[in-house]
Amino acid sequence: MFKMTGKKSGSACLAVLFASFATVAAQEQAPSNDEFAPLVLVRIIPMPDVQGRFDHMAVDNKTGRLYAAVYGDDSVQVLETQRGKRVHSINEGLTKPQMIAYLPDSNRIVVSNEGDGSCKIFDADTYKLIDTVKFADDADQLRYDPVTKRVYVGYGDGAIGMFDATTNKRIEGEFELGAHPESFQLEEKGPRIFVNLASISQIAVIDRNTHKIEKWKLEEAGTNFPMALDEEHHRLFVAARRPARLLVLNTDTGKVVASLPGATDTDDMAFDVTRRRIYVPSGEGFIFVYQQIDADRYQRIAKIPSAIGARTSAYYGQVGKHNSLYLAVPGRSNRGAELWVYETRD
Amino acid sequence: MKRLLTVVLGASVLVAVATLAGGQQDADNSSPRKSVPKERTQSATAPAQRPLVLSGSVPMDGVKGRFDHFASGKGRVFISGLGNNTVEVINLFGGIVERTITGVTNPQGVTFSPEANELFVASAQGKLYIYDGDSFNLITTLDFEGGADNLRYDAATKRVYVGCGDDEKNSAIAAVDAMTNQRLDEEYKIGGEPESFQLEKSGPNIYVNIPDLQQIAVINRETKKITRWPLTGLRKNFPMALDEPDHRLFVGIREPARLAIFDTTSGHMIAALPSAEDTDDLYYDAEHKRVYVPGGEGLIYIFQMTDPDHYRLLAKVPTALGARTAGYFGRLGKGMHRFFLAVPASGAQSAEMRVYTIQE
Repeated sequence: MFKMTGKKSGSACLAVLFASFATVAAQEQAPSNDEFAPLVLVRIIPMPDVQGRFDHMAVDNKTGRLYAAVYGDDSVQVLETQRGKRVHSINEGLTKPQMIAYLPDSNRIVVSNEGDGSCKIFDADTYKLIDTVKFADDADQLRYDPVTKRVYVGYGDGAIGMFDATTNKRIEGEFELGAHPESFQLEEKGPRIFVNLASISQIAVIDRNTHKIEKWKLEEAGTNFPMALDEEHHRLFVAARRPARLLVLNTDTGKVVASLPGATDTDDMAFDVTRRRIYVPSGEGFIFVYQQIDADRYQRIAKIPSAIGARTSAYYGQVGKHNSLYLAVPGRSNRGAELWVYETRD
Repeated sequence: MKRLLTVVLGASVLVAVATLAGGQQDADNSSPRKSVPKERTQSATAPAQRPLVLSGSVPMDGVKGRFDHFASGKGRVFISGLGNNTVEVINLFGGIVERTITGVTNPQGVTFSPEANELFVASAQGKLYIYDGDSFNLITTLDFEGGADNLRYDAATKRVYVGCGDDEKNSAIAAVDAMTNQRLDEEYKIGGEPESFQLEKSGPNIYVNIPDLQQIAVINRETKKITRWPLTGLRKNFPMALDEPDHRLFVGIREPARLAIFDTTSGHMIAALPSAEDTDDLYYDAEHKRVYVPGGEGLIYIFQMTDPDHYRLLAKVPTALGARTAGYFGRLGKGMHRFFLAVPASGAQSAEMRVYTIQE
C-alpha cells in the first residue's frame, strides 16, 4: 500500500504491524502515490539545508518560479518548479517571514515579516531589495489587486492596510478589524474583502467602497485560519481548526450552507475552479480534497497522505500545460525539507 | 523477556486501535449523490475522536540518548538531553532548534523564570545551572548534595523549588531566589529522593512523589508541617499533575502501571486506572479536563474527567518506544494548543520533538 523505505523501528514486529496501519501512512518517510487519486505527486524538489517551519508561498506563473517563506529559517527559498531545482535563498532583512505576493506587472515579490512588521520588496529576478514598507507589527497575509496595483497587508491586532505597488507608499483608509487578520480574499467582481478573524472565530466583510465592515460570527466551528472564494457561486470556504471542519458560507447572506469534517492543523486552502474542488493540506499529513456537487452540496472525495507538518501549499489553477498544487514539506529527522509538486487529475 | 512482553502487549493494543480506526468512518457527506465518485482515500478514515493529532516534528539531529523534562518560556521549549549532556532550545513558532546548550552533565529538570529572564537546569550530578534567558550564557551554578532533579517555578514569590538529594538525610525540596540566584533557608527535608512535585497556587501546599518511601508528601509552606499519604499496593510513583479547582492530584505509578487520582482535601485515593507503562511525565489539560500520560512503551494514554470523581480512558495514541517525557503548557500564542513529545534517537533514526495538535 505504501513503501517502508527508510523506516527504522525498534522492533521488526512493530514495523510490520505499523505497515498495516493506515493512520501511520503520514508518518512514513516515503510519500505514497496513487495514479487514480485527484492529486498525483509528480516531483520532489529537495531543500536539504532549510530548517524550520514553512509559511506561505507564491508562484510566478510565467516562469514557474516559486517563492516560499520559511519562518523558522528567516529566508525565502526560490525554486524553479519546471527544472525541479532550488535556485536561490533570500535572507536580506527578513525576520520571521510569513507570506509572499508576486507582482506580475513589475516582476517583484513582496515578503511580509512578523518580526518587525515590515514588507520587503525584492526584484524577482535579481533578488535585490528594492524597498521596505513598514507596518506596526506582525505583517502577515498579503493580497495583490492588479487592477488598482495595491497590495493589501493583514497586520497587528489588527487591521488590513494597503500600499501602492508603484510607489511603495502606504495608502490611507485602513480597515480596522479588532483582531489579527488571518487569510483574506478580495472579490474581483465586487468591492468586498472577506477576512478570517481566527482569534474571535468571526469573518469580517469589508466593503472597499463604503468602508463599512460587517462581521459574521461562526457558531459551529471557529479558529478559522485558511480561506478560499468561489465568486461565481457566491460561496466562501473556511477551514476551521476548533473543531476541524470545512465550512461553506453563502456570501450574500453570511449563512453556513454546508459543514463537513475537516483536516487538523490547516493553514492554507485553495479552490480549483475547473474541477470544482477544494484542496486543504494539513499538518496531520493529509491533503483533504472536497468536491463541490453544487453550490450547497459538498463531499470529501480523497484524503491524500502527505507528510507530517506539511500544512502550507500554493495553487494557481491551470497554467500552460500544468495544473499543479505545491506543498511545502518541512525537514524531518533524517530527511531535509522539500517541495512536493502534485498534478491535479479528474 | 519483559521487553518482548511489552512489545507484544503494545502491538495488540495497536491492533485494537487500528480496528477502531477502520470501524469508525466519520460521516462525511453534506449531502451525498450518486454521480459523485466515492472517496478514493489511500487509507482508512481516522476514528471520530482523536484528542491528539500528530501535526509536526522538530528534528534534533545528533542528539543521543535519553531525554528528560521540558519547560517553556518566551515562545521556546527547553528539553533536557539527559544522555547527551545538552539542553535543546526549540523555537516553537519557527519549528527549529535555535540553540543547544552544552556543558551540563546529565540535565534533568528545567524551568524558566520570565521575571528573572533566566533558565534553570538541574543536573543529576548535583548542580543547578542558571542561564541568561536570551543569550543562554551561564550566569552561575549552585551545588546540591546528592543531585538535583525536578524544578518548579513559583511566579508569585519568584522562587525556584529544587527536588534534590538521593538518600534519607540529604533528600529535600530546596528553594532558590530567582532574582538573586541565591539559595534560601527555605528547605524541606523529606526523608527520601523526591521525584515530580507540584506547587499549589491557591494554597500553601507542595505535593511530592517519594517512590523510595512509597509515599506522597504534602508540605505546608506556611506551617512547615509535612503530611504523608502512604500508597498501598502501588510502587514507583514518578510523574504528577495538579488540578487545583477540582482539588485533584494525578500521579503516574509504574508498578503496576496506573494513573492514581487523589482528593487533595482528604488525601484519599479516588481511582487507580490502568495506564501507560514506564511513565516519567504527566499533564492535566484544564481546558478539556483531560490527563495526558506518555509512556516509554510507545503510547500516550489520554484520560477524560467526566466529573472530579469519574474518569475514563479516552484514547491511546501510538508514539515511539522510549518516548516517555513530554511538555504541555496550555494555550500558547495565536491560539496554538499543542502537546510536545521527545522521541529519542533509535538506530539510524534521529531524535525529534513531535508536535501534537490537541483536538476537541
